[in-house]
Amino acid sequence: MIQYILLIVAAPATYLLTKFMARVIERLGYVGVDIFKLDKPVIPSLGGIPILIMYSILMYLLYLAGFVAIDVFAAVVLACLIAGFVGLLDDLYDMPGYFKPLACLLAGLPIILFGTYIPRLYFPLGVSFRITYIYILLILVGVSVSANTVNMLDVVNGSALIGTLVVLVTLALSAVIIDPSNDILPLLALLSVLAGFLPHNIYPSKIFIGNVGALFLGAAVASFAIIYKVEFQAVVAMLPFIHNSFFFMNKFRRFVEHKRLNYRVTELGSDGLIGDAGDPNAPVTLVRLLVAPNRLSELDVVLNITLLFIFSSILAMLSLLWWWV
Amino acid sequence: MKLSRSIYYIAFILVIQYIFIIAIPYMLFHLYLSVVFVDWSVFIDQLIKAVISALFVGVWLYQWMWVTNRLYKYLRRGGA
Repeated sequence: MIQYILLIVAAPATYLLTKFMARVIERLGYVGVDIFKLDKPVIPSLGGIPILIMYSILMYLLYLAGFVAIDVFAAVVLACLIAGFVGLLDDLYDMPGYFKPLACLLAGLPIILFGTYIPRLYFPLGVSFRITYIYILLILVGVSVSANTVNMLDVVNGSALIGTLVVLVTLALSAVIIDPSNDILPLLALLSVLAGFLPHNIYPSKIFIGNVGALFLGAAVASFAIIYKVEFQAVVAMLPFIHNSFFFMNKFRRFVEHKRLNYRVTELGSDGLIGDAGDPNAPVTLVRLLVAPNRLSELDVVLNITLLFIFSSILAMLSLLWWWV
Repeated sequence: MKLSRSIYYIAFILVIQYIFIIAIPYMLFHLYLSVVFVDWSVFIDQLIKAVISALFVGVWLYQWMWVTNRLYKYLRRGGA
């Protein structure tokens, strides 16, 4: 019972902590311009810090109360902390483009060190591959790819957070359906914390999650996918994320900070609507595809992205129908 | 709420990728189950299988890129 009380209390606690930290972050000068608003408001960044703090505290309390095993607690929290720290360094010091993908490889290490994985990949129709050594490599690469792919879709108010929330709900349902003995309390804890943070980040945002938040969320998704053996469902539910980052990578064929590239993917019209900038050098990102035929408001872009995530999550859940065939 | 006219096309592309993510492992699983490429070394045999798998993944990603680029050009021409 106490675990559910902790989960319920975590959401308002995160809300209040974020409200307090937003003021502190703004006073310290860590702010970003909300580019898809006509009046270009300045918003506090680094919103991932209160999420990271609250999630770590909540997981520690759940561990102390005996509801979360030490290996799962250490693997998930350390993976999230490492990815969040990498994002924080990038937020504070504007690191080179290759830094995030390389440094995020380290975020997979706790999962390997604490042995919270089974080196077997499962697919629908009863297909599975035992890949003892390659799986370890896949953990390192998978966590880094997941963290960075979430970060790349953090382009409009709340897009990365809402996408991650939909993916996490899909993973929770899949984990319970595939194996009812799966203890999804660590995942529910993250959902609770994110629910408390959501009102601050959805359109119109009062705080950005920053690289610290986006990398943390991506690492968390990958960690849960590995621990609960729902890698396939995670990949399918994350298809909009993957689609977005894949086209960015394909265009530039290297890790580079998008701020340093001289191109414009989208533009804000005087009517406040987002349209395709028509730059042939720019990658065909998800937002660009959405606004290519008709200009949309930022809120509509967020809602369209949310619909795509719900659609891909339904596809992920559908695979469970023929999982054991 | 205003839906993008391209959202149906993007959803269709996601369905295609979903089918490939299921079909490619299924096909490779049955291929590897029945075929031994090299019987004198398990390592070389696994290596060949890994290379074949990587090729399939490469072709899959290429078609994803090709289909999306086609869609983008179609949308820019005012197709949707």
